[in-house]
Amino acid sequence: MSDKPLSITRLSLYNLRGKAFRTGALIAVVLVLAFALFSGAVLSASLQNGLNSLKERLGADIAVVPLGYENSYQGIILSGEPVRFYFDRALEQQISKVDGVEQLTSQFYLSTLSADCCSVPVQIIGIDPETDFVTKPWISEVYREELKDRQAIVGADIAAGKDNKLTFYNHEFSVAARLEKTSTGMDNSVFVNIRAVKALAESAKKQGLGTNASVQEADLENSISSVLIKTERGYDTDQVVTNIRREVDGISMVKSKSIFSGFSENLGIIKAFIGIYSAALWILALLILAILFSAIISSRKKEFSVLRIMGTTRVKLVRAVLTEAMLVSIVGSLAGVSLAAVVIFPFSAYIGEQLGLPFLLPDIGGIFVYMISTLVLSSASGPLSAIYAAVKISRAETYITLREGE
Amino acid sequence: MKNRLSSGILFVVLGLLIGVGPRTIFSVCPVGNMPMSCHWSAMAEIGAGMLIALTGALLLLIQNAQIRLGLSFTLFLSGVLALLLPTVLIGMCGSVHMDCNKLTLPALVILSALVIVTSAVNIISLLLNEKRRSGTYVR
Repeated sequence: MSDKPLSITRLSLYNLRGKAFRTGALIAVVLVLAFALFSGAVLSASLQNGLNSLKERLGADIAVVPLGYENSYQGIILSGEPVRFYFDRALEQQISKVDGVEQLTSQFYLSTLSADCCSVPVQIIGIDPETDFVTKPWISEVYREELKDRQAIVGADIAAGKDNKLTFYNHEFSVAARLEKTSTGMDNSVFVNIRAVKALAESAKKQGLGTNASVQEADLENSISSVLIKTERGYDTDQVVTNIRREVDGISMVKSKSIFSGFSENLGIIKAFIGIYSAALWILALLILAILFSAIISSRKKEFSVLRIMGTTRVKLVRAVLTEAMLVSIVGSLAGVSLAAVVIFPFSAYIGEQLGLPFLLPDIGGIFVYMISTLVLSSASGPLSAIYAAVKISRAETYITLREGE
Repeated sequence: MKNRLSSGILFVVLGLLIGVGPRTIFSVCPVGNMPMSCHWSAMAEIGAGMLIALTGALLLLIQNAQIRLGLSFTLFLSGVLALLLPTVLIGMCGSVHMDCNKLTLPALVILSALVIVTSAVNIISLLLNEKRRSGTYVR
């Protein structure tokens, strides 16, 4: 038998261990609360990060693509969904003369099956190093030299093969650098020099390898896939779009702010929902715990009366009850946060894909802040719920409470 | 008795999930022209999972503490094997966007970790019980 003194904490632990089912039920309530708070906070922050990342990487104000390919272009931006569409390079010259166009650059798209990947097509984006202003800021973070013809910059999710090389249509490219995770289409894209990708497409066309009608029929040397435009300061994007439509036929245009505003609205609604849901759940958990603690303390009146007779002060009695509540809350909070972490972090890629929105987990610092906030809020729920019942029982007349029901 | 029942049932359930899960609930990529690494990992996990499930069933039935201690060590090592198969020994597909990497791999890692942790707790609990029974704690 242990001969350690019976402190408030030890007494509380014995009480909790003595009623395992009751203790388990209390822990379960706090666990659900902590799970919902932590997972809600991380999901909300991840969606916001994804949206910020998308906004930063949109780069161009307007994208000009062949007629009817607006959705395909959005697919490249958001998910790197491989596409191939082409139009005449001469349009670039026409567009450069339109009022309100400050800067423009062209890109060439080709999709392929990587030799080192299972069966997921990879988007190859050919950029013009002399005029590019969209991807250069991000590429220059990891690679500052000129991109040579047999070199590639890969997105975060592209799996490079042995010796850090990728093979497309029997042509080998060495991976010069890897971009950071962005939760946009950049993650699934490979960036090469526009000369190199055109040569690749021409080679693939001659070999009849994995190319579709759009590649087979196009005059690849004089084709581009898109023209990306930065508008002049002082010009409204919609006005520039109108100006371009007046001068150039047979094209579609995608405004970056349209892509962004759609997601921004959806995210606003989701964040509001998560916030309201979390607050409502916290209040509900407080009410449920208050009811449970009230019932538990009511059923233990004689026990508390005996403690009072043995010399326990009213303050110590309140402390004993609050310590039990705190222990239950701490265990429940830790379990809830751990469970949420096990569900969200390993499955974050799957969750992001199912949500259909840009999804980028917060950094370690952010996750730590959310974890501590959740632990504090959830741990406080027990003592806050129990305090009324604890003070009430401590004020009860000991003799009457002990003889109640006799 | 209660601990033996609960731990035995838990290992049977975890073993079945590890063995059957990659083919059903969190399935790997479908087999195309050529089976990929994830297919072979799933096949290997059937073996590891069934080993865990059957050992868990033995844990339910056998009362002898020494034998249960041995079975717990077996479960621990089987859990380690189940963890290594899809991560190191065989692996999954190269692309992070394939279902095997998004769903199957995290699920197998979590389930294997649960087997490892639970069997470790079981080992410690059995060793402590053995010490108590042998009278080491009596003053």
